[in-house]
Amino acid sequence: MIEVNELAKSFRYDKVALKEKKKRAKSELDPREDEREFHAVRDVSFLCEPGRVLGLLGPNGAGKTTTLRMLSTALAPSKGSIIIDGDNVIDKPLVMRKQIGFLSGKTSLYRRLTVRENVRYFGKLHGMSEQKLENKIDEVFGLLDIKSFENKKAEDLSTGMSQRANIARTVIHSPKVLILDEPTTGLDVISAKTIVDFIASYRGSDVSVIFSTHHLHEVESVCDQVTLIDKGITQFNGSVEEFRNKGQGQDLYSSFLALVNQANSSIDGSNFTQQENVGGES
Amino acid sequence: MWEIYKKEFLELVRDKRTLIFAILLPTLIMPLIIAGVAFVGAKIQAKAQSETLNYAVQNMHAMPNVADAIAKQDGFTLIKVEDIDSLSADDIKAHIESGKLKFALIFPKDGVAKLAEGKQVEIELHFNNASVTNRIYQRVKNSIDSVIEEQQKVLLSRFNLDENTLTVLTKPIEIKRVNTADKREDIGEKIGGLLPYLLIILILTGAMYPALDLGVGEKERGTLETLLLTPVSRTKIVLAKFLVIFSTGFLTVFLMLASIVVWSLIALNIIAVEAIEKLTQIISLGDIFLIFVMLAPVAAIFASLLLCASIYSKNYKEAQNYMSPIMMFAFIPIIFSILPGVQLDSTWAWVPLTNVSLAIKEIVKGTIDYGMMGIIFISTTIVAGILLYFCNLWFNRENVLFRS
Repeated sequence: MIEVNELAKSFRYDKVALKEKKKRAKSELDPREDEREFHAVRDVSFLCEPGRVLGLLGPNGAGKTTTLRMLSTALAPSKGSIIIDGDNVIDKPLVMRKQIGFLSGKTSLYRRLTVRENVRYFGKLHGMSEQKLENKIDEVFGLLDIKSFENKKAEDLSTGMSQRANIARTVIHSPKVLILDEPTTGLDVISAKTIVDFIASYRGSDVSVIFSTHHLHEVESVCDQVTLIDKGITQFNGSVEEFRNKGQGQDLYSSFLALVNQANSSIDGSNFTQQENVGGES
Repeated sequence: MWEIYKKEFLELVRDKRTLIFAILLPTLIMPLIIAGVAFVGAKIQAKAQSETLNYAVQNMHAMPNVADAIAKQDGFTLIKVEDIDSLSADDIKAHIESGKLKFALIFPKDGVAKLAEGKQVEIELHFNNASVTNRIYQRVKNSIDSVIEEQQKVLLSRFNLDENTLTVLTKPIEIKRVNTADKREDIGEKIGGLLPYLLIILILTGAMYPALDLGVGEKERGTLETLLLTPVSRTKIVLAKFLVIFSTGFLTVFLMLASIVVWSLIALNIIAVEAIEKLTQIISLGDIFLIFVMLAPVAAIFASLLLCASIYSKNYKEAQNYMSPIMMFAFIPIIFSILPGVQLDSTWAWVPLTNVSLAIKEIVKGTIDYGMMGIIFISTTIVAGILLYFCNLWFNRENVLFRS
């Protein structure tokens, strides 16, 4: 189980960024900006039980990626706590990394290694024994349909193949918490479906999955619960059904827009339209 | 940590650019360049010495003995030029520029008479002296040396003097040079300045590409973040990356030295080059080992510096901008060590890189002070350690790792 409480992250501006900021008009400033810092995440809380898939939603720049990077231990939070099975990740990140599998939108594989070599390398870094590692590789490669290209060098893979190999790398050490940041972005339909099916296979297991996406139909098909953040603050926590109800029982898009507009009007009165906020998906 | 080291090395070995910079450059390309430059240089010198030179003489009949002596010289061909005796200096220049003549001599019309009177005669030699390889003046002078000697004898007998008196008159005091440097020291002084320059720059070039690939390269490709999320401490990651860069730089110089030894032996056995034979007689394997020992902390300094710059950079372009100052950082201290009068002493022993360069020179000369060598090794290792410490600090900072 992963429990996130009042998580916050601020970035101090460097000299160049500070100069750029001073050039901008007050109306152009994000409400999260102050004199010296940008408060990317201000107050994010949620809980995800084992065997459940949590969909993390929010418009671009809402703070989703920063939140996920804190959960993965890549960034240290400025405030708050991340508890996995009773242990605070912030206190002992090195140990807790064994419990976490993280796939960010920007990660890739070592291009001059084969897929199998890539995955084996990360398994070894997680301290897996040789035999256990080989068995696990075969199991994961089967689930993600990787066997046909396991000996290809990463530089020769298509985007879809590469992303499947990346997911295999992420789960090779059997993490208790799986964090996926927009794993289907830019993929063809078949590759995206393989990945969504793979995520769905964790439902009912002992793994908590946190999955950020702009594709709301994926949330509908695979998620048990939804957390929506905007301007670095949690705007909604609840089941998919409860989320749907926020849009007067229509589809998830209506709920998304209603919540984002509600958040924005409470800050500066501006409203968003569907096209601007749902990653262009119709 | 060793898993990271092994993987990084495997990736580098599979990369063509690393193969070129770390293996082909020191083993084949550099020896080929050195041999090629030496071969072409020797050819040019030989050609300058034996090249057939077309020439003309103005007022040839004014000094027939000089004209004869020049005509007898191998490789000189007298060309008939119309109205040669009435040509101006500009006309002669035009003939030389057109390539018709390589040089022209202008004898004074009263040359013979002046010689008979015991006066000095001035012969003008017109030639293009712009080329550093031309030997025209030397060859012309050699050709008339016999005439000059003959004239000296005539003059001496006229004043009832012998040749010894002439020597005393021209050089009443002579300083006799007695060189206390043995052959090894002499050769070491000549090549000892160049060798560290070559080796240290080779370490830098060998380490540069892996450093870029392992730092900013990983950042750009998106693999660094993945690596940072494994249960391996950042200190171990830095150490593994440092060791790969260090090994590659060191491997480059090892291959270079090994290839010099191998190529020298080949040259010695096949073409019996005298210079190489002398060199192999004075530099032992023990000396080469000592040179390696001195180069190890240098490789460590470069590995730390390059990794720092690479990790700090946002992208390859920015990283490449940092490479020029690092090159300067390497060049300037080495240039100090080549300057005349700079010797290894207790002051220079504390200047990083200059001290190693001077120590290598002393090793080649066979005059190294082992106590001083120990001080240099320790001080350079301390500098490398400090740089590695800062590199590690940097690697633990979010605003460096995720700088955007």
